Amino acid sequence: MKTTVPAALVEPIEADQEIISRVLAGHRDAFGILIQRYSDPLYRHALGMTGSPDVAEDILQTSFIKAYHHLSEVRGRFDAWVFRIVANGCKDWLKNIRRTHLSYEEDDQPTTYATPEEELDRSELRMDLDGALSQLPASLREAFIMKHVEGRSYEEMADLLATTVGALKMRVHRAREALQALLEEKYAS
Amino acid sequence: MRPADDLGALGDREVPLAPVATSDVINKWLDGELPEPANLRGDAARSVEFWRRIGEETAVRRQMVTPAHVQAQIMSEIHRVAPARATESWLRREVTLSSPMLVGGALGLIALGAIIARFIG
Repeated sequence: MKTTVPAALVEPIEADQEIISRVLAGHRDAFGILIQRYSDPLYRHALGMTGSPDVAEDILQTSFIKAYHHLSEVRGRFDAWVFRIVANGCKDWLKNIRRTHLSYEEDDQPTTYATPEEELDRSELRMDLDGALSQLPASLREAFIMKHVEGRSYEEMADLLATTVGALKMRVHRAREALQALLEEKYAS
Repeated sequence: MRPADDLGALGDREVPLAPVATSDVINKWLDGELPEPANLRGDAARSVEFWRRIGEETAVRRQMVTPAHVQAQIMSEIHRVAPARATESWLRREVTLSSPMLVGGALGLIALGAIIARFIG
């Protein structure tokens, strides 16, 4: 049986720009709506780029606070603007970690899996994939994460990264090639 | 037997080969432009199996959500700092000059002109 929800019960989605206006008018709590709306894909991006939940949380926190302070400067889409803040935060972190030759610990790896059995089955592949991703140049890793982990379309990626679909396809293809070369021997049997 | 007859006989005996999955085909499949390549053998089959496993792992990662405490921490930090306000660029801001400021500016310009004149002269 087909059921329909009365139009009056459908909660209208408040446009980002309206929320921004409310925040700028002094309603700080309204900023929470923007965090709720966009934090998950941004967290996945930061987690994929850094491989560390703690670092991803820090980058997300710093980025949203920065976004709050500069909210009056938003021109155009808020989600694209805040994505650039997070993406730059990840790239800065990668630059610093390479410069200081620090490596994150295995305990610091993502651990959000459904069951302990699944965790055991996947832990090796998870760690190997993180290790292989960390060997890719930042631009290839970013493209791979956006395509495969965030599940974005090439058009959406081109919009967010201000580049062309063709260039991004090339980056994703090169990332796949590199990952396959690094992992295939162990996982393609 | 003529060469053409020979070719014809070969054509009759031709059996379909297993499809070849080049990296281009694999990429198109992973990009959602082609269905998953089937009935593959050797390296091609291993490639497809490899990407299937990676796909399972990335699908798990796609379900990850921001830990609940992160939003609370951001909001608590935001309540701690000064409220965000609509700000204007300093270029667009109206500048009001008082009489002492105007006199000071004029004297400064005269002094600067005298120094330059001394260097030139």
